Amino acid sequence: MLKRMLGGIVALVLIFQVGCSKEIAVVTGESSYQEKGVSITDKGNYFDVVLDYTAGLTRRQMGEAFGRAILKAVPNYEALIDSYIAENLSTYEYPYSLLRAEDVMPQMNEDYKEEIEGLADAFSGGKENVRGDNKISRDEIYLFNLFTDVVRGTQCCYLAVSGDRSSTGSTIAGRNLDWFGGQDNQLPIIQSIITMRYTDKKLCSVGYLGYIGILTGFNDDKVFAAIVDSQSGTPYSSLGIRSYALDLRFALESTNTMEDACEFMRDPSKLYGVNHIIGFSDPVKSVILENNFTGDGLDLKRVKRSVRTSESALNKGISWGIDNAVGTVNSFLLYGNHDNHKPNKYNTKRWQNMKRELLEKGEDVTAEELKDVISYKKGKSPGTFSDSGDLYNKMTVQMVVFEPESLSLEVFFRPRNIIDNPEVPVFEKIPVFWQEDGP
Amino acid sequence: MPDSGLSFIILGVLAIVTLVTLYYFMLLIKEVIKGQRRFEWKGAKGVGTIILSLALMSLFAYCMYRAPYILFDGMSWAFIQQLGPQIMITAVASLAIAIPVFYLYFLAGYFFPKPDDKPFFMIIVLSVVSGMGNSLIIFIINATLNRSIDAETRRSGIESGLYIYFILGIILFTVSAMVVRKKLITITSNVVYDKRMEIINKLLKAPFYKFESLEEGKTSAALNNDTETVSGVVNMIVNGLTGIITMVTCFIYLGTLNLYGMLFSILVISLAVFLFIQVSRSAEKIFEKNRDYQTIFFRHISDLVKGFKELYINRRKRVEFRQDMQKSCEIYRDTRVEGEFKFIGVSILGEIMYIFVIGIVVFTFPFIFDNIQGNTLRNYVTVYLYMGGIVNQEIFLIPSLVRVLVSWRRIKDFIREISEMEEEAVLPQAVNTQGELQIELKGVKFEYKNESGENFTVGPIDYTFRSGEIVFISGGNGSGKSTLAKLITGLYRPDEGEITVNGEKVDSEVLGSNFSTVFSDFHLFDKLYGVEYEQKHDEIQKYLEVLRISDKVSINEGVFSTLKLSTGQRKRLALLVSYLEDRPVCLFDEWAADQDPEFRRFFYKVLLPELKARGKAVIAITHDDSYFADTDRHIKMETGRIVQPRKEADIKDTVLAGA
Repeated sequence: MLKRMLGGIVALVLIFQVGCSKEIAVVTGESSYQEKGVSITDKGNYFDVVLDYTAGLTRRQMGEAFGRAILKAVPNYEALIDSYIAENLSTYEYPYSLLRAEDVMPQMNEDYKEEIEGLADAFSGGKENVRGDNKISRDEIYLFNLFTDVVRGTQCCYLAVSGDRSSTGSTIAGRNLDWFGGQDNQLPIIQSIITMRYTDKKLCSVGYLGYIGILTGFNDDKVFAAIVDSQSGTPYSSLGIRSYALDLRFALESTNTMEDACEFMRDPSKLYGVNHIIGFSDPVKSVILENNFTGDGLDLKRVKRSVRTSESALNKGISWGIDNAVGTVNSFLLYGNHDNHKPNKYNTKRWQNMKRELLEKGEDVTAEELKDVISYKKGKSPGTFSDSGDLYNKMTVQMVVFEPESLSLEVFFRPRNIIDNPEVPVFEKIPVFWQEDGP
Repeated sequence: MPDSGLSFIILGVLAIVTLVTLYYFMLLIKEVIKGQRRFEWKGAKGVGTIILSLALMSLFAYCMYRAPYILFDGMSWAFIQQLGPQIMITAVASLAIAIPVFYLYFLAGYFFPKPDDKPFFMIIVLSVVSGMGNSLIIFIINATLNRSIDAETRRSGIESGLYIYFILGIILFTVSAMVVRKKLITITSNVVYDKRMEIINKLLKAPFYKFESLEEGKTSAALNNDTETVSGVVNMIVNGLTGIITMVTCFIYLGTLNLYGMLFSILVISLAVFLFIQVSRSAEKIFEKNRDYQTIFFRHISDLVKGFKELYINRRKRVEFRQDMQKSCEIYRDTRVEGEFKFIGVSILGEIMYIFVIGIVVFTFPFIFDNIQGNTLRNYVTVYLYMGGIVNQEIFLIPSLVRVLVSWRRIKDFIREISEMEEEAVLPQAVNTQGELQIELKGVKFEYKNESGENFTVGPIDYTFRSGEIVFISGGNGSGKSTLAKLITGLYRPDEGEITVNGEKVDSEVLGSNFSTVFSDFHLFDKLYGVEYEQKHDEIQKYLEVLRISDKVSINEGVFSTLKLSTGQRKRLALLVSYLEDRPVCLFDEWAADQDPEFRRFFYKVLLPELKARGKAVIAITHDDSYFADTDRHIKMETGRIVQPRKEADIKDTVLAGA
């Protein structure tokens, strides 16, 4: 106890050092690994993963192969994920979070369950759940994949221009993933571009090794989607709920249009544990799905799971007024929806900044200008998430700019070895789908 | 999500506290260097204080370190650093500076104490800490209730570590309140002591004639009742300050839940306090009146004690006195009741208003604030219910505070009144009285209202008293004998003329310092003040035997074993005290009146000649004409004047002729 107290005092002093920059030692594995159905290549700041579901493997075999490949590329992967779970879940939260994940499992797509079971087979934790043992158990890999559903949401933003407002005449979408990367940069170390190849479909996920849901992704039908958390303070219940990240993957796998994908996600029969927003884009337009499944609204209106466009009426005191463009932060805005926007400065500030920055770019916005908008920060360095109003902030771990028409993908990944984001985010142009099929 | 507004307030308060602490720390160091403070090793208590305070500091450090984890559902400082608000991190960092600085200041003050120190800053800070500890308790209870609302998290209070903060809150509240109470008790007791001594010193410096003019009962009320009332302010300050800080922190907490709710609550409570203050003003006047009757009541108590004999034997007197006392008791009671009643109505109104606020929160907030959560409402109600007791306590402190203010004002007024009595010391403070002493009255005149309320003048008197002479003063009742005695002894100051000692004009105190007296209304202290009794043990014993009271009273360490003696015995004891004082002039006012012939004879034939033989100037007011021959000079007073200054030879002739 005394040792921990003294450690605490020292840690406090260290933590409060302004502008401290922590360099992370990254354990590297094989730079490239391939086995039947799975290939993984270390691209320096992210892993390029291809999961080939046409290779004849069962989903479980695919999951296991993926797990093996991960361990080849990142030998300390289990320790990274296990510590990340421990950091995010206190001792008392850990057991009931596992139970919550267990409640979600019956509603999960069997294929996805098989994949996760396969991943678990590759890891060493078995069925024993021990918080912080540097091993990943079966339940823990489920938990990791259901993180946004049962543990902690993402704090993100999404912005897209289309039509006349786009310099190309088709949609340009941008999204920031603001998520705690872990004390030891666990998430940036495993960030990846995962391409899933099916017989008749291709899917690309901008995500993390071992995470099979979609945080940001698109399919070869040029439908782009990104999830944004939007908590409304509703008491949590995991009974009968589904995983929206996994459902989004299914939507992108199984539908061909943005409308269908959107309709799939707003299906009233599908219950989710956390209210959320999904930004959808196709080459022509972009919409925001406000998925407030608890739906308690204003003025006796009860908006549940509705789509917002640039023309939609918004709640009192909130305005957008930019045609051919949609944007969202972590709040519902549709008129009649629950207003979790105005009471939260971290929403209103970023919303205002997003609007202002976009308007400053004029009527004809290029991909570079959209990058500028989502890279907005007030000071020299990115500020803290909750009070700076910076779209690019200290929590930002990924920034994605995607043009559905050309399938042009540019991503900023936080460098694996640095906790503090750089002053200027550097986007990498990432070729997609062409790896297998050629341009 | 952590709140930036709250962090901003904390940061601001901490910045002020740290700067002021550093200022006082520097002062403390300066005082140590100057020697005004000295190191005081407190022994086992000191070691205990260091160990316990270090344990508290460690607990605090631990709680700070674990704050994100415990308070924000398992977050880490690394998470908070990214999530923000930045000001919260700065506020906590400031806490990590402010607390050790204040702790060191506290320890320094503890081990380097200063006599009569009044560490108000420390008291204020610790009161704030105590209030915050109090608030922390309810915040943690709220947080625990919110977390444990689901079956799966019902044990979260323990498992998340929230209980550690609960314990911290209790420790902060109790330890700070204890330290503050101890310091305040010391300070207020010292203030009461200082005021009492100031009153006593000023009273003892006041001339008798002015002291005599003070309303009877006023001195007792000021020294006894008012100072006691003021000393009760300790608990008021501690409870009041702690309560206010608790309320402020609770309001800040409510503000973080819902700003408008907090403003509404403040508005209603401010309205209640405003009403109370308005009522207090009218009640204050009633309490002032009540205090006036208290003085009268004290005077009646004095009459009851002193005049019990007269009341006992005279039924009519007793009945009438009882009626008067009953009347003063009734008015005292009624004014008190009237004052308290003024507060009761508004107290109930205040309570109702407070409960009304809770009702408004529960019933109307869901309509007014669309986004308000069930948890927020529950938190509001819990905090309100918790604050209810504190608000009531604060409101009910107001009447007590009004009484303290009345008493404090009375003390100040009384001190001002008796300060004005002090005479400026423009005259010589001492006169050489070695050898012969001559007290000369030149045209001395003094006017006063007698018992019938008529103006009565003593003088003009021209007369000289000398060492080695016995002077008798005689005259009828109301002839001015006792007044003359009081003029001679400096108790009264002449309106005209002057009194000199060995030719020099002196003030009344110097004049009086030459006298040993036994007035007819003498007071016998239970101790031999102003007598070097250690060196006079044999003499004391001898005269106790001579005066035949050795079997009744003994003197141990200058203290009489008893004063429960007959009037004659008490007078003999007073005579002994006067004799032992051994002043150049002895004045006896009808001393022999209550003595049997034997002691009368002893007085006139033995004691007075002996004093004369020792070179004393002896002045005796007497009606014992059978001993007039034993005086050197005899003054006869009539209507305030010496009508027949007679010489020794004349007296002796008269006595012989009579014989």
